[in-house]
Amino acid sequence: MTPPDEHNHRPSGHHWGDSGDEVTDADQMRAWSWGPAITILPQPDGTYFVAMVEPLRDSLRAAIEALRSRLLRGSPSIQRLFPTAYPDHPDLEAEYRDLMFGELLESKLAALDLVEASVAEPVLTEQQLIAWTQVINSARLALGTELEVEETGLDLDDDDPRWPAYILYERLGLILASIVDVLPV
Amino acid sequence: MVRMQSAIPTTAPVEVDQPTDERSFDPERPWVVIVWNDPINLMDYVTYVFQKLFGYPREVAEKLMWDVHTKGKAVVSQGNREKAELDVFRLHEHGLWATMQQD
Repeated sequence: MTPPDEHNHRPSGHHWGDSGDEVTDADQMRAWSWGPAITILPQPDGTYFVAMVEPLRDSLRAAIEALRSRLLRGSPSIQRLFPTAYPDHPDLEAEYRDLMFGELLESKLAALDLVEASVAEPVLTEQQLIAWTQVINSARLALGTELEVEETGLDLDDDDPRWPAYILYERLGLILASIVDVLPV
Repeated sequence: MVRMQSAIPTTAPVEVDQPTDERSFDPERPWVVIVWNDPINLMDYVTYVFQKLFGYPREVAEKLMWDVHTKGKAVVSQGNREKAELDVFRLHEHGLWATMQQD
């Protein structure tokens, strides 16, 4: 698993000025906004005020598209979203797949629609925010699988061809952590 | 299975229930639901899912999350096959790598 705040500590690659100080992606977004890159505030009426810098919102839009195309194409990385339930019982696993695969796929596509419709909204209901967690987590799982993220994370340079996908993966982690922080259980 | 009914009509002969001795499991033994470690899911997200799905207090959910993280897996629930299968499905809905096996 990925420990908390890992998503705030990016590998080196961005250097600012002559100081040589490493500037993380989260630092970069903070500098653009002169404040936190994302703020989610529960409101008295049970809704949530959501403010984030545009690069984060763009990442969410990109995640929606990335996830939808992978689900519809049946990309190999999507298998991570449909794990084996019965590793010891092929007969029961076949039954589980037959009955549950379609339902699981539908649940993910329905969450995608909810998020797509609310991606630019400044105020979200709890149901919408939960759909955000489902979509963002699914997209992270697919991207992380493609990036072959390991327990120790990934150490990439910004000239690595996988860098843009990695930044997207990390930004989704930042949004997800911010939501999980405020959602009631 | 959890969903017993199908709206799809079938022209195939109706199958009677197979005798349990042809199935690959012992109907008398309980099932356990196991969550396996993966390098992608956020720790706080996993704790959140355990609290939300099973109603565990935060300390219990955190302990299970740490077991998954450090030992590679943890038993997060148990019960009959229907209950275990529903738990596995809900864990899959939330992106966790869950399996079930007989105790």
